[in-house]
Amino acid sequence: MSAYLVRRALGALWALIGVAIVVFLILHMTGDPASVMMPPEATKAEIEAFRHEQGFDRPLIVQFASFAVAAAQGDLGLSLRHQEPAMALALQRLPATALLASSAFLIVVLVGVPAGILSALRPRTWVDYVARVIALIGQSAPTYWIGLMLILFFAVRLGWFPASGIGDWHNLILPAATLGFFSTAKIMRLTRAAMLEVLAADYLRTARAKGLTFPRVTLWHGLRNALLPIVTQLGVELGTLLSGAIITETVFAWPGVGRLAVQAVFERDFPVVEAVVLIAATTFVLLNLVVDLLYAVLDPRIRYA
Amino acid sequence: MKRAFVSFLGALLALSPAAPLRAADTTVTISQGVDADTLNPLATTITPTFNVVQHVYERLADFGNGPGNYEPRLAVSWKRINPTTEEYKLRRNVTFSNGDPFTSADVRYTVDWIKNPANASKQTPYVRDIDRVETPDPYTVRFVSKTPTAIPPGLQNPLFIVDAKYFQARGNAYAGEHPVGTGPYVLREWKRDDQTVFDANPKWWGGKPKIDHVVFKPIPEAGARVAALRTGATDLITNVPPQYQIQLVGGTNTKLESTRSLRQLFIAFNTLQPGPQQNKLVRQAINYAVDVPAIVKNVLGGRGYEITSPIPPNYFGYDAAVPGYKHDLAKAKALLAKAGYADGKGISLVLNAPIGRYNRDREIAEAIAGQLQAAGIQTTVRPQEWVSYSDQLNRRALTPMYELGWNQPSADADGVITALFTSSAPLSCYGNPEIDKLADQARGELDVAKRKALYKQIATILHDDAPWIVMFQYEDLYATSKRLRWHPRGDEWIRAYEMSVT
Amino acid sequence: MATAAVAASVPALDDAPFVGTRTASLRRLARDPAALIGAVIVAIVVVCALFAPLIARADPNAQDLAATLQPPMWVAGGTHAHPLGTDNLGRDLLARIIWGARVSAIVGISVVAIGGTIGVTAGLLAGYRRGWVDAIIARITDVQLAFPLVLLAVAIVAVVGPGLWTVIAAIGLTSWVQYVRVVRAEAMSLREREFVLAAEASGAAPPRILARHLLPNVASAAIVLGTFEIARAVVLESSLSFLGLGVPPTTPSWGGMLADGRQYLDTAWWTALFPGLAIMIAVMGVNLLGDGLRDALDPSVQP
Repeated sequence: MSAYLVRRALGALWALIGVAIVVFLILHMTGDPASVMMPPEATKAEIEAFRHEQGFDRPLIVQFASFAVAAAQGDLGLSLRHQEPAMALALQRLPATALLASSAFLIVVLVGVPAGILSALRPRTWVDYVARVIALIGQSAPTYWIGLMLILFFAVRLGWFPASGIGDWHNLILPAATLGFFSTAKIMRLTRAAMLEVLAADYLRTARAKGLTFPRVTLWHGLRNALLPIVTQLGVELGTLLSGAIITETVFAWPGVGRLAVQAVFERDFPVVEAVVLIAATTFVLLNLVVDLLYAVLDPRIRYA
Repeated sequence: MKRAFVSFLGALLALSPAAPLRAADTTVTISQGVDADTLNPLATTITPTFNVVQHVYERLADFGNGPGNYEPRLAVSWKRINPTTEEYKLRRNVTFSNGDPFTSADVRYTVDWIKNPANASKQTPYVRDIDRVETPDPYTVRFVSKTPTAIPPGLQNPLFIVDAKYFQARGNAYAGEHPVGTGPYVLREWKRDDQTVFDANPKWWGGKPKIDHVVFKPIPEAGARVAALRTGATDLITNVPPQYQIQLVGGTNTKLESTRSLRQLFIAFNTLQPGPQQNKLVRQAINYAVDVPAIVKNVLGGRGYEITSPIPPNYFGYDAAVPGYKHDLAKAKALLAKAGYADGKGISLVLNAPIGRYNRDREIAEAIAGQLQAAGIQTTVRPQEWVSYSDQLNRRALTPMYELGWNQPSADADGVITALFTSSAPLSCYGNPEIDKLADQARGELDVAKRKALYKQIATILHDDAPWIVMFQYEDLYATSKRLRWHPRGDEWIRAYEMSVT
Repeated sequence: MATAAVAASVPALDDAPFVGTRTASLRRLARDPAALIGAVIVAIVVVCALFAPLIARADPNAQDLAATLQPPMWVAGGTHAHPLGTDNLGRDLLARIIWGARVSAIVGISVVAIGGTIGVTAGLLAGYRRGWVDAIIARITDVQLAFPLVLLAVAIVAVVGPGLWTVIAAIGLTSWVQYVRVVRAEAMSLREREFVLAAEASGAAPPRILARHLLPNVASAAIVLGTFEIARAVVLESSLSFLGLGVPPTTPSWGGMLADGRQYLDTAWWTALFPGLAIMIAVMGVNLLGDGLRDALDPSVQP
């Protein structure tokens, strides 16, 4: 078990290093933001001086070396736009994204799983069809469009919730619902399929024939076996949520890491993009580790793979 | 009965001037489209950030109403003591909010900070005309330039004075997040992209400001800004798109404010790249083909002011005698034919435009393309998002035509001409040695009348050579709650210390 | 990685390399009403994409600055000339939606073609060869999967500059890894089978083994995955266009139209509603078809 852990952890480390290299190369491939950062009346000489002071005129290898050395110590340089440490800026925004993602995750677990179970228990009834149609919509409609439509109906037309920004729990509802829609739909369909498969299994029919009461049979035996793929998928969906937060935060002007990343990419604020990517990659890698571990715990067959 | 009378008297006494009632605290909330990118006033170049920091920090003098008009702030008076030296007398008994006294050493530190390569400041262009700072005594500062400059270098650009002791003790990063200034407000908290809260500084040299608390709450989406204003969540919003005018003008607690902006929108020809735009006749023809009043009416809903020269009427250096191009399709076609493109044959142009950088920038570009098509000139619009647009702009790679806006808060022709028409400026796609020479001369010409004459000369040459399609200045739209007393400025700066509430 | 999880969920195949013949699969597909609806929707989208100039009555790029933001024809102020209304430049919305199918179709198909080819090949190689080939491919896949995919696509397009093929390349880069995970696991479990060992013993060269014996078996999983990847690619392209990083703004694209319509959400709702509906319906069709394909090709495989 511990050998498995160590191997996975090493793999994770390699993944992070790879990500850092890729990000650095992509960003530095096409010029630098010196001319964008300086005021419009700057002369060529002033732009060049700024470029030199920021170190953009050094050869790529040298830039990468100094970046790597600093990054290993957690220092990613100053944000070009905000003139503050990029890593600190990104970490500052993390709680907002975490709040959004966990709220959405709560919706996924509390709505998606029960809906899937319900749908499996009442196949081919109107409950089942309605749930499946909504799930289909959720998996087909783009997240940002759902966000815009929710804003249109609930914020603009009805005025129940604010249209953007962070504040109290009112501001959280629409973004969390938007972000969680896709994953809720997916989990619901998965839960339904898993439950259906399990319910049809022979040993359950035998148990029911023997006279075990229905709720006990379904909820206990059925769910336990369906648990494995559902839990795994929930782990994957958490990653999807973090990814989707980028778009949702942009639509709702939610001050999280995702929005910071999009702005930074647009403004060519390299250090901030690098910081956000490394944070995101670390989170993903850790998440995958946890999912793998969970999997190994739940299914002994995998442990010795 | 007697007891009631006594208590009534007691209540009256309590209301007497000896025990004044406390008026309710006033708070004004301002919503721009973006948050301040930093609270270090020496590390930014964008107006929305200046709008925030100028409540804590102050300049030597603020722009007043009209070009060359300044309101004394940290400097009470200034004069030119020789052609290359400007001397400022500083305000006495001013302290920073942490108690440090304000002296000329702080002014010198500010300029040195910007010039210091270790700080990699983006404001180096603002101090390029200051060669040396002299501080003969704690309340006198002299800026010495290499060559004479008509506009005092300490006044024409945003130069916010910082506390030298504080910056040196705490370092840039800390001082950037915990601003200490001489201004009318102090920072209470700054939650990035959420809100920035200022409290009135009772020790401000100008007396306690009328508004007790100022909150900057950025709202990126225009629709959300309008909604916030209507629900009372904010008191002032910027950049109101025209389609919301109707809702706001007659609103129960909103009103629309507008002002003629110092910002103009224009189309420039890239005369440095090969193509038909290098032919003066083609450029003039295109100028005749464009109908600016129609664009202002149809695309801006009338919220714009047609101008005829890159030096507009609200700038120093404007001369009404310089002609413009009136829409004349016949003249356009004739000039085209003379240039060898009869009926627009053989000419095909691309108009580059940014998306969402200026109000309706893309729609205006499309409208112009449409007008040129009507004159027989094949034109397509190539819109791009701002950063890649700006990148190409700085490399002079946008060709043959591109759209751009320009706001010069000092309202002086020098800023426009030097940055947009001289051959060494990165943003200028025009090279005319005569203009270079005249611009240099005008920048250093200390006699006001002579300077004006020089700019008239420049404007006349530019009219004839037509490196631009001169178009219009915006009418900036703001909206406020009914209780707010405030008028917008053409330079887009917002000052809470000039506001009051009813 | 979740590769292990996938390996466990893929059912053990019997000795016969195919589960059901092709005709049996098609018959199953034809009897599935949801899949048929999906197929019809996809067909409509493809037809719109191929024959846009013939179907759309108006020119999608013709502006009419005097008729901007006209409502759909059933709302007061709308006209029959513009059944779904016009956008902020006076362009006909219906025409732009029909033409927008082109971008979505091209992106969807290209991404799957490119990403699928690379992904399936890499997966087969990794699963069959093991050793250092597998190690390298697995490492690259890990790195790629550690990356937030949307951000990767955003970064690539923002840096290289928007354009149709940049978008396809960026989305394709985020797509190929999905195939590797599934195909690799399949290949790993298949390489121990008798028919593969027999082929190796008879001296067949590896490419032949891959192509003739392994590929057909991973085909159904790859096809099903490909269908869902089309859906993901279409949505991702529209997200990129929404952020301003998609195809050039002059080309009608559903995501770009949504980006334009966003500022008019409360004053001209039709500019934001209809393009989004188009994306949703198109993707729904693809998803339904994908579900049907999965059920038809191998009914014992669970989602």
